Amino acid sequence: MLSIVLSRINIFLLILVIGVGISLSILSYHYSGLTADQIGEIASNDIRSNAIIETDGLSKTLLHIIDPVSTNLEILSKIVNYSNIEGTSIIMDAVQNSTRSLTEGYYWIDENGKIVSISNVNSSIIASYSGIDLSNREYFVIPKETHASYYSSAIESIDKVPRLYISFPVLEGSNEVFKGVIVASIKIHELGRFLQSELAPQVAGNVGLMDKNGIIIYGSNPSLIGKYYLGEEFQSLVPEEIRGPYNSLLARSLKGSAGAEDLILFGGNKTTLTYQPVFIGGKYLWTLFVSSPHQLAAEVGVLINNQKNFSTLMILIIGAVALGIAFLILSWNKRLESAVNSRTIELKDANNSLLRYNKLLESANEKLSIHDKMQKEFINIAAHELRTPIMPILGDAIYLERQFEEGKTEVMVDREQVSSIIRNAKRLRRLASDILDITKIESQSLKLNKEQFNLNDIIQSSISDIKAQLLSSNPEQLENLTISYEPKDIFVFADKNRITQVIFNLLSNSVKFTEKGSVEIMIKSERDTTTDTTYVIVSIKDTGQGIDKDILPRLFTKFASKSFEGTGLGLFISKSIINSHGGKIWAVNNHDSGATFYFSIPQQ
Amino acid sequence: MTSEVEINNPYKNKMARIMVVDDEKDILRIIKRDLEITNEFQVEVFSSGHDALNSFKNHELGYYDVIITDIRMPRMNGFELYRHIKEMRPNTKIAFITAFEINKDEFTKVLPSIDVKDFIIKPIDMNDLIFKIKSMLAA
Repeated sequence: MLSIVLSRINIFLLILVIGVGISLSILSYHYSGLTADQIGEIASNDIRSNAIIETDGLSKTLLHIIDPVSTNLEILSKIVNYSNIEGTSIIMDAVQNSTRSLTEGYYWIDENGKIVSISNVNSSIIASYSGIDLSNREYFVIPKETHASYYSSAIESIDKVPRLYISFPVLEGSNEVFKGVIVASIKIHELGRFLQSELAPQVAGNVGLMDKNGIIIYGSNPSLIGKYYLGEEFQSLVPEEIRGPYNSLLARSLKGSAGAEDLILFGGNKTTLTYQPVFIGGKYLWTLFVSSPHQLAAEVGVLINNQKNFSTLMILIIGAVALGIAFLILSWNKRLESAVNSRTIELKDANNSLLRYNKLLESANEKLSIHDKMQKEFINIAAHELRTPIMPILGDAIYLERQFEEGKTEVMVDREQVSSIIRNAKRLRRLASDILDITKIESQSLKLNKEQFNLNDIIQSSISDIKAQLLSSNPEQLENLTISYEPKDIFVFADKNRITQVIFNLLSNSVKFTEKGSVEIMIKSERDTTTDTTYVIVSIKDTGQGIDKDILPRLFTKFASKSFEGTGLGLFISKSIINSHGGKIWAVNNHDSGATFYFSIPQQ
Repeated sequence: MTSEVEINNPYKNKMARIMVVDDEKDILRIIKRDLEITNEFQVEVFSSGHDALNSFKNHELGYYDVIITDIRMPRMNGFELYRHIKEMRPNTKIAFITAFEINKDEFTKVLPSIDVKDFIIKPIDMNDLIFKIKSMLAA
C-alpha cells in the first residue's frame, strides 16, 4: 500500500484528505464547544434566575413564619399580668401550640431575670427553675436596655442545641417601666429543615442563613452554626480556590442588599449563590442564602461534551473512512495504472512487432519494387533492342516494296541494304537468345550439357568470329586492334556451347571498349590445395577505356552496362553460366589502361 | 490535313532542313532516304550527340527547321542534346524518337524538366514521321 502514496500527486491528495478531515474535526469541535458554552450559559442563566426567584420566595416564607412568632411575642408582652400568672400561662400555652412547628417554647422572665412562666410547663417544674438567673442573657439585656424587640443570632445552649431567640420587653405604663421580657426560642434545625423543605427541588441547592453581623444561623453543616463567617472553622471548610471571591461575596451580602453571583469551584463546577436580606419589623436582621450548583448546566455541558466528542469522533471516523476510500481509489488507480501500463507495454510490443513486420514488408516491397524496376528496365531495354533492328529491316523492305508498286517487276537492291537486313536480323536473333537465357536463368532451369573439350579450340574459334564480325561492321577498328592469344591445350569438362558463349561475350566486350590497342587472352590451370581441385583460369586483358567506377560493383548484374550497343545482359548471363559450373567470374581495371576479365571453372 | 499544313507552311517554297540524330547508322540511312524522297526535306544525319551539337553551333539561327533525336545514345544522350540546344536557342523545334517502352505521361513523370510535345516510338512509320515534321514546321 505504501508504494501507492509515493507519487507526488498521491501524497498531495492524501495530505489534502487528512488536512480537510482535521480541519473539519477542529471546526466541529470548536463549534460544539461554542454551542456547549452557549447552552451552558443559557442553563446557568436559567439556574441563576430560578435561584433568585426561589431565594426571594424563601425569604418571604421565612418572614411569614417568623412574623407570627413576633406578633405573638408582641401581644404577650402587652398582656402579661404578674397578678394573674396562671391566666397568662394559659395564653402562653395556646400561643406555643399555634407556632409549635417552629418554636420550642415561650418564656416569661421578670425584670430580675427570673423565669416566671414557660409555655406548656407546669408551675411546679417552673418553681424548680427559680434559682436560674437569666439577667445576663442578651435576649434579656438588650430589650431591657433598648425597650425594643431583640432577635438573636444562633446561640448554642447548654444542651448543645443551637437556638434562635426572639424577645420583646414587657413595659408597664406610659413610662414604659421595664418589667421583664417575653422570649421565644426557635430551634435552628427546625427552621433550617423547614426552609430546606420549602426550597423547590429543581434548585437542588442548600439554604443558609446568616445574621447581619456575619454569624451563621443555619447551614447544611450543623457544626458551623453560630460561627463567624471569617472564623477559622468556617474558612477551613471553604475551598482554597474560591476563598477570596467567596468571602468578598459574603461581605457584600451583609450590606443588606440582594444579589446572585456565580462561583466557579475547582474542576469548573459552577454554583450560583443567591442572597436576600430578611427584614423583620422593618429592620435588616438576616441574610438568606441559597446555593444552586449548576448541576443541570454541568450535565448539559457533559452531554454537549459527549456530543462534541461524538461529532469529533464521527468526523475522525468519516475522515478515516475518506482516507481509506482515498487509499482504495489510489490503489485502484495504481492497479488501473499498472493495468494500463502493462496494456501499453503489450500495445507497444504489438506495435513493435507490427513495425518489424512493416519493415519486413517494406524490405519485401523494396525488393519487389527493385525487382519491378529491374523487370521494367528489362522490358524497356528489351523493347529498345527489339525495336531498333526492326526499323531498318522494315524500312528497307517497305522501300523495296514501294518500288514494286510503281509497276516494276524488278528492283535494284544494293549491298548495304542486304547487309543491313542481315545485320539487324542477327541482332534480333542474338537478343532472342539472350532473353531466352535470362528466362532460363531466372526460372532456374538453365541446364548444362557437360562434355570433355579443348578450351583452346573454342578460344580460337571465338577470336575468328569476332574478327569476322569486325571485318563486316568496323574494318577500321580491326586494323587498329591486336587480338593476341598463345595457343595452349587445356581440356575441361564443361558445357562447351555455354563456355563458348562466355568467352565470346567477354571477348566482344573487350573489343567493343577497345577502339585501338590490344586484347590479350590467356589460359592456365591451377590447383587449389584447400579444396584439392584444379581450376582452369581464363583471362581477357584489354587496353581500352576500362570499367566505370560506378558500374564496377554491379558489373555482373542485369543492365549494368553503359554500352548502348548491347543488351546489358551478356555479363549477367556469363556469370550465371560460370556459377552453375561451380566457378567464379570477376573483373579488375588495369593499372595502366583497360580492364581484365577473369573466370575460373573446375577442370573436371 | 496535309493541304492545310501546306497552306500554313511558311517554308513551303523552300525545303525544310531536318537534323536527325541516332547512333544506329542503319536507322539514319532509312530516315534520310525516306524523308528526302519526298523532295520536301533536306536531311542532315549525325550518329552522335556531340557531332550534332557541333553542327548546330556552327550554323546560324534557323538553319535547322526541325531536330529529331534518339534518346538512348552513348556519351551524350538525346536529353542532354535537347538541353544544350534549348539553352542556346529556346525556340528550336525538337522531337524525340525512341525505342523505349514508354508513353508520354511516364516520360513527363521521369523527366519533368523536358517539355515533350513530340514523341515518336520506333519502329517509325515514315508517314507518321512526315506528318509530325510538317505539323511541327507549321506550329
